Amino acid sequence: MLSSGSSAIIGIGEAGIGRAGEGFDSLDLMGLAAADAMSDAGLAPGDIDGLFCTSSHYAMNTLEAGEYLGITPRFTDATNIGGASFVSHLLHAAAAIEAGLCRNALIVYGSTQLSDSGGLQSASTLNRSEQPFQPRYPVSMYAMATARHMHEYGTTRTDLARVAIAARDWAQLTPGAYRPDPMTIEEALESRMVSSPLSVVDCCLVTDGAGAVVITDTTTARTVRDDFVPVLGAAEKHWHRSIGQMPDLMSTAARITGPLALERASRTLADVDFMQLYDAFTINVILFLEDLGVTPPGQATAFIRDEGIGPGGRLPVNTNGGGLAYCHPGMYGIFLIIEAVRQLRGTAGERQVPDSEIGLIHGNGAVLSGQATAILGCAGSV
Amino acid sequence: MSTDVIPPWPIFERALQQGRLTYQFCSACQLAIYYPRTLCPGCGRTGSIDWRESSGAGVLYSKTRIHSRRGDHIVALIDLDEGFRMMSTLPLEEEPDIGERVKAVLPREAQLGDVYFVAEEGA
Repeated sequence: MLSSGSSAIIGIGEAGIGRAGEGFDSLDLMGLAAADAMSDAGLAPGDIDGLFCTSSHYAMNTLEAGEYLGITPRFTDATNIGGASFVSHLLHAAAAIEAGLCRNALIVYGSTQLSDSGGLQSASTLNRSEQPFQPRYPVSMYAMATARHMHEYGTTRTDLARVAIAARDWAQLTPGAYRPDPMTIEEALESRMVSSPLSVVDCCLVTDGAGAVVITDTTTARTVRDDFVPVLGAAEKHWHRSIGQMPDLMSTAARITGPLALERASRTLADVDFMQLYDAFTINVILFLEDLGVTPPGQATAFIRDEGIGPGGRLPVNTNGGGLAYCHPGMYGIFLIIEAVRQLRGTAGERQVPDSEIGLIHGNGAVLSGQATAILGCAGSV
Repeated sequence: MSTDVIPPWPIFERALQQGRLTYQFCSACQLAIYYPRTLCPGCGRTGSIDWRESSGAGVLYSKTRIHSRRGDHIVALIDLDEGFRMMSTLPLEEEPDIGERVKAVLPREAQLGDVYFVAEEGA
């Protein structure tokens, strides 16, 4: 059994958020983010012996990244469960470190998909039972979850708009955010429809960007820095790949991973000061608040309206603006970790959540498919 | 690989061309299976699956209208009465609502992408 807080994050780095500039490729951005994270941790490539990486750009991601970065790991993991992968990697890294299979792990992701094409780049292929009907991947799948949520609970496009507006409000406080422009509900309702009921402002951004995180055992972490961020608990689960195989579009595997991660952390939801929830689409935040148990099913929209998830709200969610307003270079999971670390270090500037001690991050991948949750703490948590 | 295993997708597609919407059923665990598989995902058996014909009738579970410069189209998920869910499409001009009864229409010599669903009364 994974011990709570046995490993800790000691380095974070980002590069190329937004538009990286002509001539960079994905590995170039990974190089900059990894250099940033290793420098933050006081380590060099030769110190890293566990490597975690996946992307839509390369078939053998840890081989590509290891070679470029000068890392020759003795533990390597290119698990790909979509954008949630990096939260999954955090769990795997904590387990590998505790098992003694590696000591210093680097999780890294980078993509130049905005500069490459301006559209979402994905290596995904649709199941043979779905491809002939030409859903627009992945937005149509999330749109059907949204339409069902509207049917079952009376959710409206105004409810969705409130999620997008909260993201914009956070982004205004976040240096380097790609879309910090304020938005009204009317503007959101009038925005261009993509796959009904989701319009363009319900969809995550398409940007460039890279992120990297360094993890080590907590005993070592204490000697490196005072503001290390322990991994208190983590869990992963998936129960489908294709939307037609998801038993209930209102019920993601976050229902399993949230409680399990909290149990492994010996914490409850009441201990959580903020959440970073993978907002590929506005419906994600609504579903995850319900599936993680913040509200009963069907009541997240009322919570968002009455209690608030934006700056000054009762539960701060996606405090950098998330995938809707900060950045979304194809896969976002690594940025959930980075923003949580900034909050827990107390270095989030204007958007700092006061007295942040425990953060919950939840990664989502593919079409509400790959789900991973982690509970992160601060030095005082262990 | 044993030679007595017949690939499941061609069986499904051949039936469709002959005007029958089929699905698999596991007699061991009573599970309706769609899309076609070589094992039952409920119990893992390979020998307990047989083919059944669906009535094509069911309930519209969800849908989305995809907006495109080339013209809009609809993608839908339908819960068939026999206990499986499939992706399909609806005609733009008479679009049923979520929760309404629908029925499959199989054009002559249909491939999967030709199948669509209409409101049950109109079938």
